[in-house]
Amino acid sequence: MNQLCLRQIRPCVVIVVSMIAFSSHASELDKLFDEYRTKGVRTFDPIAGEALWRQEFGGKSCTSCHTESPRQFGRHERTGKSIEPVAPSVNPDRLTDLRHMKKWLLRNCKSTLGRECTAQEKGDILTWLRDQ
Amino acid sequence: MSRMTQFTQYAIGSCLLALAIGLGVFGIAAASLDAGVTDGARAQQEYDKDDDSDDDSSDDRDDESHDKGSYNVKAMDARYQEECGSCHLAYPPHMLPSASWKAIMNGLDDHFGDNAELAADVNRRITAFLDRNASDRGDRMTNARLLQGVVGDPPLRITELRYFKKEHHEIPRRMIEDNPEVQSLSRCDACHQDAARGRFDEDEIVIPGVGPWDD
Repeated sequence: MNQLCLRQIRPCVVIVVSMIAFSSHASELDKLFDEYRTKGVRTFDPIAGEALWRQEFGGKSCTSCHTESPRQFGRHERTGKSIEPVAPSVNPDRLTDLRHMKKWLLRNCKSTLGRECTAQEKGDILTWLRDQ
Repeated sequence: MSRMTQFTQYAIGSCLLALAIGLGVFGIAAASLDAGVTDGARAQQEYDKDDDSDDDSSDDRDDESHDKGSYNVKAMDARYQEECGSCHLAYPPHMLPSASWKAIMNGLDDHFGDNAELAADVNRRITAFLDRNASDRGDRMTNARLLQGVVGDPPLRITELRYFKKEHHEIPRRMIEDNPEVQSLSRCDACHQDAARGRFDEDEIVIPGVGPWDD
């Protein structure tokens, strides 16, 4: 009897699991994390991400335009144009558009660090920002 | 339990298992396809779609502005607004000659000290828009004024234009450079209330901390 029950339950379990696999639609941010993983990044470190946010590179840092807190409105250092908060908790549109995220990570890393950020750096900072 | 019942249960169990495995494989395949191959294609489609709608709408607005005769600037391209207008005022394209826009768009990796790189297709599209509406295109009288003194290397800044300098030379430093709410002449919209729509009429100037300006 026990064996029979197991035999009946097993397919149900498989169905439930596969339906979860089917329905879970990877977010744009998850796709970016997956991309970084394929480049060899094993773990993403939010503490390193926050440190990078505040780190100065020849007088420039993320905070120069975005301010210390990603929950605040920023201001372009030279043009004075207002920048919407980056933190999804106050600006839910953030970190939802793959093209947008890639474009700004490329531009802003080159502008601020003078080079492209590594997959590790980008993953770290996004992991930190995601929870802000 | 009869043999028949056992057989039926076994058959149902097998069918469910097959269905589950099939669904699982399909789900994984769909998810990985979605993340990989189709992503580029879908992004491209969205671009194409955007391109069409933008072109249509800007044409419409263009006609409207011609009819009313009140605007001296072509309707802005939505992509130009989005890509360039996120850091600074999307400067009206009729303010610089075509060669200037091309030089600017070719050097976006060092755009006055910032990196403002664009994907190649977006760059082409915006460059084409700027070129179509540059000061040495078309036949507007205002454009002729903006072209005064432009010889040799194309100017990279609107603020370098002779006409621009003539229009702004009498404004004291305290109202622009030393005014924390303005800081630079390149921030047109700090004083020109309708600059975003390409309007720079004198009766629409309000200098922050000073008030309306009319000479």
